[in-house]
Amino acid sequence: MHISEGVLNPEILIGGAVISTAFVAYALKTLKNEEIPLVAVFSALFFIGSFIHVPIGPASIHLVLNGIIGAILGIRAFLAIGVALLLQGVLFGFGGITTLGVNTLNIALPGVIVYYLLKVKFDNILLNNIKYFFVGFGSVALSALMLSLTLALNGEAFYDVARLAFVSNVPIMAIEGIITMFAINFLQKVYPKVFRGSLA
Amino acid sequence: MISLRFAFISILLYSFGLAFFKEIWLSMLLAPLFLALVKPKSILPSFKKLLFLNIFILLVSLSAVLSKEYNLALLIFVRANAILFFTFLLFDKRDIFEITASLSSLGLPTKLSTLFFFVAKFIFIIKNEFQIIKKALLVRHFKRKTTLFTYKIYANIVGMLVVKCFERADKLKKAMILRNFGGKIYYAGENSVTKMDLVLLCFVLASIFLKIIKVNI
Repeated sequence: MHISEGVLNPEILIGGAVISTAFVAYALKTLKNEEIPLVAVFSALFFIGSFIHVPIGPASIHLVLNGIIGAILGIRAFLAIGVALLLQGVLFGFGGITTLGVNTLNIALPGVIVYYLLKVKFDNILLNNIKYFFVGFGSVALSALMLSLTLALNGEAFYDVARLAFVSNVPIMAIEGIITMFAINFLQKVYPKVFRGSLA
Repeated sequence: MISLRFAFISILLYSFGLAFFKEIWLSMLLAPLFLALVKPKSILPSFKKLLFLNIFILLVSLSAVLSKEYNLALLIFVRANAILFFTFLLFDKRDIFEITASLSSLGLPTKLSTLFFFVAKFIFIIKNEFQIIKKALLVRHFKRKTTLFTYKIYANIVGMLVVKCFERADKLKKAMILRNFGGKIYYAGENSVTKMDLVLLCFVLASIFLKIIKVNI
């Protein structure tokens, strides 16, 4: 899901950085001091998400968790994901400094979108489960789409890798959707105050 | 020893500087080569990390090769590897707390530097919680398979981690209120500029502005 250093044109890097900075600045301005620990702990969870490997056939994938983090934090997901991406970039080379803006936008914005999706209310259990599935599936699908569009915007030479990036993320979308659906159901039974902002 | 504050300034300048390159000049490798000479023990661990990351870089380069953009493919390959190698050399064997503390000395807003400090603290805590859950699954003879049951277990792990996150955040929030937290974390580290910082900065600027030996296919 991360775009590596050295791949994108400067116009895209600067554009992504400007848009992400605007979201981060807004999130930071509205962030209260007592909310900092909550954002920090979910930033850490996003960081740790890359260590949670889920089996799929003979291979395994790691969870993205942008859906569930976005569903809990809303616009503050930009802060949580941006900080985690910066640390992942300098420590592991997943993304980097120049691509931080683009990667934050691609991963955090779908999370914020699903935060508002969760506010749509259904009385039907099946429809609610579909909604929860879409929190995971939709956030990764949107991220993958934005990733592919970013690569495609980089020039005609990147059309092939843009298609490949989207297709290779399809299994991750499905698994993230299933896991998010079960996780939200689990949290609603065990710790319902988690979604106070989005599900209340 | 290169200060981490300067490490961030260097990587910012170097990676954004290289992003504007349309051609490959051998001189763009001056900064990572200098750093490799200064930190020879970091070369091998940095190469190991690069090997894995080159899967994506090679795929992107291959896409350019398929479009017969050979120079672009080589530029991406060299540029990506140069920036990543430079990053790994700079931050190799650096503690995450040192990294987050150095960010606050760069003049970031106080809320953001506080956030960085807490993230570093929570990464260890949440990672530890995850290890405990993993061990509990091992003890209960859980076998990972591509089944709905496995995914349900993983969903419960995510759910448990979210609950732990809330509990930890709540404890920290109460501790902050109790200690009359004013919104700023104070660090005891030094912020002085060393000679090595300035030499590194010169090499970074030379990598960006000197155009020596053009490489073409």
